[in-house]
Amino acid sequence: MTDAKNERQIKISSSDNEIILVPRNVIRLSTTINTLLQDLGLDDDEATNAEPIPVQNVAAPILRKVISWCQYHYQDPVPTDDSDSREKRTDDISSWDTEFLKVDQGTLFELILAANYLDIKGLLDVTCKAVANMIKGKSPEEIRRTFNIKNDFTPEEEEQIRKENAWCED
Amino acid sequence: MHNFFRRLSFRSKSPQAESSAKKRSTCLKKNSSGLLRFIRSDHQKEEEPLFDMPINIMLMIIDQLPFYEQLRLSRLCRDVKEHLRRKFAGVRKLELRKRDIDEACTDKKFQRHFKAYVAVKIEGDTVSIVIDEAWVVGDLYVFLGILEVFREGVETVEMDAPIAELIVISMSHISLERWYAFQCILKAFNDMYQDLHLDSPFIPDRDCFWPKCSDISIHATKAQAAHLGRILDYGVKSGYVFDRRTMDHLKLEFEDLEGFSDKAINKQIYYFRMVDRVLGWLKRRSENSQVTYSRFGLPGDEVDERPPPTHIYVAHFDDDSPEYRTFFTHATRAAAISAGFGLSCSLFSFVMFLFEFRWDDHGRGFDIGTVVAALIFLVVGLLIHWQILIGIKRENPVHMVPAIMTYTFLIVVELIIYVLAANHLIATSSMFANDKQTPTFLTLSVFYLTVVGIQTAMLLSITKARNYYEAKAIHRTEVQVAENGKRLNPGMAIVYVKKDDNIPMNGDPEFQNRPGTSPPPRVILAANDNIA
Repeated sequence: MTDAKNERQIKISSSDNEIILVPRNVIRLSTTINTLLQDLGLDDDEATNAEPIPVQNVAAPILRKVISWCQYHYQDPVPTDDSDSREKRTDDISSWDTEFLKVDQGTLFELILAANYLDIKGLLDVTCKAVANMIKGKSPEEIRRTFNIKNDFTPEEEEQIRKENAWCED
Repeated sequence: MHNFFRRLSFRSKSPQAESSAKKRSTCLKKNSSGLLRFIRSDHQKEEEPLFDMPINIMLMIIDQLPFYEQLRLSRLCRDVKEHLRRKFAGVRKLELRKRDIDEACTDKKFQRHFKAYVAVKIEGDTVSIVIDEAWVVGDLYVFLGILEVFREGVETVEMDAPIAELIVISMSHISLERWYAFQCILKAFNDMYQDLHLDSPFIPDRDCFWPKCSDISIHATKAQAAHLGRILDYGVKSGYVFDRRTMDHLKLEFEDLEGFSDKAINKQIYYFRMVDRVLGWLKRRSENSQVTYSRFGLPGDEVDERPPPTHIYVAHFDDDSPEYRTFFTHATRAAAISAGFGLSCSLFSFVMFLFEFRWDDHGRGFDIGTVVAALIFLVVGLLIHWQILIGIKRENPVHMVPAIMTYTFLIVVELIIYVLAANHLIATSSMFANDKQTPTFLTLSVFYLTVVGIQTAMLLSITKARNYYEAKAIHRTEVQVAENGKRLNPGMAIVYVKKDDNIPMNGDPEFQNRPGTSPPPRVILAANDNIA
């Protein structure tokens, strides 16, 4: 983490125009910003960018949370394609991440949106796992209500699916 | 029902009990009146949605859930259902095992069903499903439910023999409960009655269980051989389990069998092979009849590097060829005359028989048996000759076959009778008797040889007419093939060649520009009457 602080800093601005300085190596985890820096040629210059990179969809408190997650995980090994094909699990969240995700539900969902927008795969995975743990055992009706998902099945279709999957219902 | 069996089974440890809180609420609901429920529900506030979740993120969250939870949520909305369908259709390999579930679940990657003794492991495009070796009906339903999820895209399947029987039984008319009871009976008698069978009628057409499957391996032990033998009983064609067109390998592996010395095992394997017999036959037939290249480069066909053909040779057909003439006229005309003559003879013989028969010698002067026999003779005679006329009218050689067969048979029988009768006359020295009532060798010879001679002439005419119509039908087919070829490849010329014409040899560029000596290749098409 100390190394990261000594490195080149990148300025990013949140949706509420707060400017945050992030070490270059840390923000590499965000594919969105990483690609932006490379495409705009900002990586050629060793100095901090004069114009901050706007992150319009993320508010400052959430952006700070995202950066703190990146600062902890920027040295993690890059996940391989093989790990993508493996069946996902929800019980393999590290203790640090568990503590990190002890936030209110609104913040958790904002973190998911931010991770999705900034394309931070690790954070997106871990936040999705946290939400998956929350919805485990909940009925489809409850989940629809919670996440404002429209039920576009006819009652007959829904009944048919329920019958087909009766073996996996409680 | 399944609870009943579970109670009976040694695996009586019931699944986890529901939480007491949940039980209490259920109890309250059951006891409360409809009015109370209405009041209660009226007081419940409609919850505001907590969060507007974009569907793509919702799908990511669902992907993190355990397998059973994912399926349970497939009725969340169409997007989720379609996403899961596509995801699970990507599974290419299935491993289906009947094992001790606790032992199998030492591998932490297995996700165990919350109630049934079934576990599933998903790794990339491979899915392993384990069902407990002491299975009950509830487990079977869950196992088959999981199989249903993955069956769409599966190409390779490895399974244990009892599971092969289970899959077949699930497609039959027999209920799983009944089959399970049958298994219990077998178990109770310690598999003493290996020949005890539970038959089911054939099931009508149904969808293929694994439509894309190309490799199936069935693992068995000696003790499990009876499972294979029983597959034949359930009335499920192998084509309903896998598509014969996509199947490459169907492998049967015995773990503890050395050689084929055990007769009981061999019998079960034989029964199992009977199920697959049709597959082998179809495969052989498909190899005989499959066309693997396209000469005309149609879209979707395999590309053929050879240039398209420039000529197609059709053998010339001569209507008046000597081989189609008989008794100084055309075979068809001779056949028509023979048919007319045969018709007249049948009618005349019948009438003559009615008048000439000595009815008074047979009791009351009328014998039903004789009349029936005479009528049968008349009807058969008329039908056979009438068929010849129909064959000539329709130019179809098949209609002449009954006459050819009948006349051949008659001629042979008459010659045998002639030889036997002549032998009898010679032996009794009555070769040239003066008694007018007694047939002599001369009169017998004249009569029989005349009849046989006329019938031989008729047979010759009809056979030649049949050959003529057959050759004509073949020629018509050849012309049709040539015309179809020309329609697909307009640059190609149809060349009609006679027997003695020289044509360039096929495929050799050196011979392309000069005439060859080989006759045109002739398509041999047999008529469907099995007569060469």
